[in-house]
Amino acid sequence: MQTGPVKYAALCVTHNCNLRCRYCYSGAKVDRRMTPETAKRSVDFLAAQANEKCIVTFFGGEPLLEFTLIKEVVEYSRRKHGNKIEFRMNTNGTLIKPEVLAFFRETGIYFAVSVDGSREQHDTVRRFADERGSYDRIAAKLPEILEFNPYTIAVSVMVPETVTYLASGVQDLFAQRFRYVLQTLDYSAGWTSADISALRKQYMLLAEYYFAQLRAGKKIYYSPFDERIKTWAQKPYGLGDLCDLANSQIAIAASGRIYPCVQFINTDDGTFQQNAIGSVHDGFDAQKREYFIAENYRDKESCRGCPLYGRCATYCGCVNWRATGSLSQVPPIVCEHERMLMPIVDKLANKLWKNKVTLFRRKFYERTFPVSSYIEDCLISRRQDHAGS
Amino acid sequence: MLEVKQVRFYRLAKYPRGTYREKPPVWLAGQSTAAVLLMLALEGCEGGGTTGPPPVLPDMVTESEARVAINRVLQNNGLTWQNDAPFTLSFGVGDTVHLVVDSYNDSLRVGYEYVAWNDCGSDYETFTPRVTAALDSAAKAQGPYIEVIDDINRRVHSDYEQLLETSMQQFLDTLRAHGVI
Repeated sequence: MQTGPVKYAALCVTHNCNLRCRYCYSGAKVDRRMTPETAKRSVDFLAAQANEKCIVTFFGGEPLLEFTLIKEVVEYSRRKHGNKIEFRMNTNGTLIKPEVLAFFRETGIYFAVSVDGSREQHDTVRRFADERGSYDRIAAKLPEILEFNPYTIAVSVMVPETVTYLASGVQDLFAQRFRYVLQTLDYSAGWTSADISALRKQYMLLAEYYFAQLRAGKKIYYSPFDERIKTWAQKPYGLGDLCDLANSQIAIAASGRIYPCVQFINTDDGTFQQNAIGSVHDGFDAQKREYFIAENYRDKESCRGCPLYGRCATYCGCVNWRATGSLSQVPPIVCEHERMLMPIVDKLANKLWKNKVTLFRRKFYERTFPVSSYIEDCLISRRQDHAGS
Repeated sequence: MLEVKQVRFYRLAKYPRGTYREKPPVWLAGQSTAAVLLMLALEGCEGGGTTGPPPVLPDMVTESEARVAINRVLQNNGLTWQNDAPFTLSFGVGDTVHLVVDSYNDSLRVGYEYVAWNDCGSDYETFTPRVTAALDSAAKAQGPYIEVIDDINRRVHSDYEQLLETSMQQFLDTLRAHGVI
């Protein structure tokens, strides 16, 4: 098995978090943090394992609990490795402060923020340790977050209890001026057929909303729709496209142990350590790393011959492992979800195409769209500023 | 009861598959500087192409950063040019364009302009292909000699200062060889 350079790494700087989200896969929240020495060793290790560039995402727990460490490691990395290591962060956003944004602005670090949708949806699962909902705290910070970077991604997770809020919650996020909503299910939750039916109704409402938005020229990205349209309009998923765990994507625990993906770290002790594929201090355990890669790439017998092969999300070994305990065994919820969602998405895309919606054509068929769209946004924003002044 | 089950027959998608190509908008395709910018910016865009999140903005060298590097070269060559100098480019009777170039020496008729991305495209609106082509033609003829420098993506060129210094020194060497300075 040929291993490639590391391109993406999650750096778990702490196991602690100020929230206790129900679907969190990071294990018990304990005050165990990465030392500056391990953080610097991690950066050196990644710089050595990468080709030209490695994107390192600060992860947790809640990484902003270790803001001092983040600053130290970014400064160290810039000094020692220049721009070879590019930093990002996944945060719950509740600890964002002006000085944090000032540092990120100065160092060019962008982050994704976890916000599920409307208050009802968010507070059902994303709570502080004392059971208070965290929506009000994050909602108050969204204007400054989106001013810092209007392209900030909202990361939203659905659980069976929040399905009925889905359509209103997503529309709420776009109304808050998010442009990118990355949404996934908690595949390890106890989903039922009734939940899938409820989800279908919500996605159909969202398909109508998405059509209207694109027809009005509103640039929105909603991952359940966009990613599936892309697998038809552009190209289907190949091996490693959706998930390349242990190979080009790895995760580093606070201890310095290397895991195939953040979903394997948990509390980084006891049996979880069996999934470690090395450490930044001693390097990769080549045999274990190759085992995980091979298992992730292994042909999924249950999917062979299915017309949706290459279009659905059964290629994520981490999701499979979390839900079934096997990297190559597809969880029923993933398959049911894809079979329900794909027709909704394709009908939506058919309608957008048939109605000659310009933004749809540009978005999915114009290679230069990310850049041309960005320049357009800049020019529009500048004209608005001029008009306002 | 949820289950893993293959779809037997699926032909719902009627929109083009992977072959149709939408052309870039005319305003973008028509700009040569934008084409360069595009190439640079694409290298700075992460997240999977056309529809994936491209939230990492291109990290372009700002105008003030570029000026520091370029002015260092001017200083080393003993030259003093005026910053933000107004300049009028004439295309014929009643057809003139008023520009402000980053630096210009009126008596020598030499200067430079770093076409910056960071001010949200205002340089790109001013230094259009028509203007840069006219400046290029003038520099090849009797002047004025204005070096137009496309902006630089730091993610691609971490050694941007070196790049700017080399480029400016080459420009000055050419001017010197032609007896302009």
